[in-house]
Amino acid sequence: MSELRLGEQWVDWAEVLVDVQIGYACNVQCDYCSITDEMRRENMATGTIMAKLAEARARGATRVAFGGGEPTIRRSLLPLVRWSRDRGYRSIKVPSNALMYSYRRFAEEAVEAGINEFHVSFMAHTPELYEKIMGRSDAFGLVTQGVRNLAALGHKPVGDLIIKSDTWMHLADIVEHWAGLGIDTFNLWLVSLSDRNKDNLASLLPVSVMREGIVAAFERGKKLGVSVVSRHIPPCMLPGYEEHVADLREDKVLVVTPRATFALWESRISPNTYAEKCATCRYFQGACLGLRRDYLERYGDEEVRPQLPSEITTREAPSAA
Amino acid sequence: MTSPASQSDSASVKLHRALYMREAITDAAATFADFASFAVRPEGDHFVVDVSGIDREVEGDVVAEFCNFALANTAVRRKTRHA
Amino acid sequence: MTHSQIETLDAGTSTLTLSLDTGLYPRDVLYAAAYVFLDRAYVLLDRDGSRFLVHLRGKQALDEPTLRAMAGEFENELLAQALRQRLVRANQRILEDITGLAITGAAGGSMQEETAMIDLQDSADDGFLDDPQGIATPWEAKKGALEE
Repeated sequence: MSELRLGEQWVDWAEVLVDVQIGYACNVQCDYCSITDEMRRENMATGTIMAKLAEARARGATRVAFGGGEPTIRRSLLPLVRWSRDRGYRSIKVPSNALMYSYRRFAEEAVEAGINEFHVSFMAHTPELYEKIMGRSDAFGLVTQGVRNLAALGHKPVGDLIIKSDTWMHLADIVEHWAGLGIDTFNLWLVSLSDRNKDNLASLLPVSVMREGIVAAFERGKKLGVSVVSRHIPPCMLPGYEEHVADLREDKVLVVTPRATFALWESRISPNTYAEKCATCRYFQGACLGLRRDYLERYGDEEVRPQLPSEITTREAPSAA
Repeated sequence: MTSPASQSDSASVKLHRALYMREAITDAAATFADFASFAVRPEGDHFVVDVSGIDREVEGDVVAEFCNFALANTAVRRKTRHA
Repeated sequence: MTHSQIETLDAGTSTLTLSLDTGLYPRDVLYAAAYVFLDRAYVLLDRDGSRFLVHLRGKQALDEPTLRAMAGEFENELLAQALRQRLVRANQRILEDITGLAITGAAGGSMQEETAMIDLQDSADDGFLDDPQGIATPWEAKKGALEE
């Protein structure tokens, strides 16, 4: 049995998700996208992708993801998927904006090739907001058709939602809309102030401001019987909803980019930075990975609330954040 | 070992100097400052922590939790130092 | 064979004291093992000559079998943490291998054949053959067309 050291943990290769960023080219430019024009020109050669996946497979890997950019616009994606499937990869994931799945034939080929973990980045729940974010007037219709095509083929994508200044108040409705089309798992990701989006400060509001919308999404999910989890916000900023805070380490993701290879939570756009006051928290260097660096730089640690390792309580209720 | 929380509002605990960092102990004292007062002094191989004014309204064993904190802080400081 | 020794065990106070030879485990292993128990026990470390003393008191009432089990768990945790530290040192090179794959070495003869069978026109500017709505057109190409 072969193990890989991912961050501070040892993981059996069979559990590792080898997440290959095959290139950063995309068919749209969402208003919060952090990929620069220069990055968009970066593509990993097919031979390189295959060599890395062959090496990982030889060590026992069975899970692969093809990320980007927008992977579905790459001609060699489906051949790579077939090749991976034939090599023994059992779980093949592709995150996408789902525009290409609006072609029924492409959706069928994608399923036939071996993609069995579909993830869709859902921007919004209305055509207007979709157009505002994605810059394409027909985007909402195309994504809707794409989801319907996948559903008809027996696949329910996981929904990835972005929390930002013009979506946080709609998160519950976004969840409800796509749940109506069969989506039953949603991940909430905090918009990143990095690279192309680094100066778009207005896109990232404090969690304390957006909490109402985030919590509403959790509650709406419970009401609808769908899973809604947050992936970038530390548990102390979502008191009472700690069970909705996912640990990035759980998926055991090894990210392979044209430039570097690293554990997902070691990425500079992942939560992996502690404030000084975090050292007293029961979750410090344990269940909590910390904050995102860009968030800490923008807003400091005012919202951080260390949780004591005991259940010490006082008669006075703790002050609200 | 600290005894289970008693009705006394003071206690003393000895923490071995080879196993607990002084800074870790004082950090823990700062964390628990709302629940008791702490005075740290060296005595032979140990730091002696005299705890007084323990808040009895609090649920839980303040002194024992403080010791856990001092241990956790020491472990973290050592890890950070070696990183 | 256990490396730690139960010095005292008292179900009445839910306490347990273990001792272990200071030469057996580095302190960091001791800390790492103790840290795991902080949620369910009060832990105090001490030293008596060449022995570490680990005092544990359960946060809940614990009977004798449970205390004995906790002693066993602590011993297991010491071993696990010690093994982890050894593996880190011994396997550093494997990590370097994974993060610095030599492409030409990894490709090999059959890999080159397989690669040749897949479309080597890797540029994403290919687009998708059957794409009447131009959905697969890269954004830059669309932007350029709009600007012309």
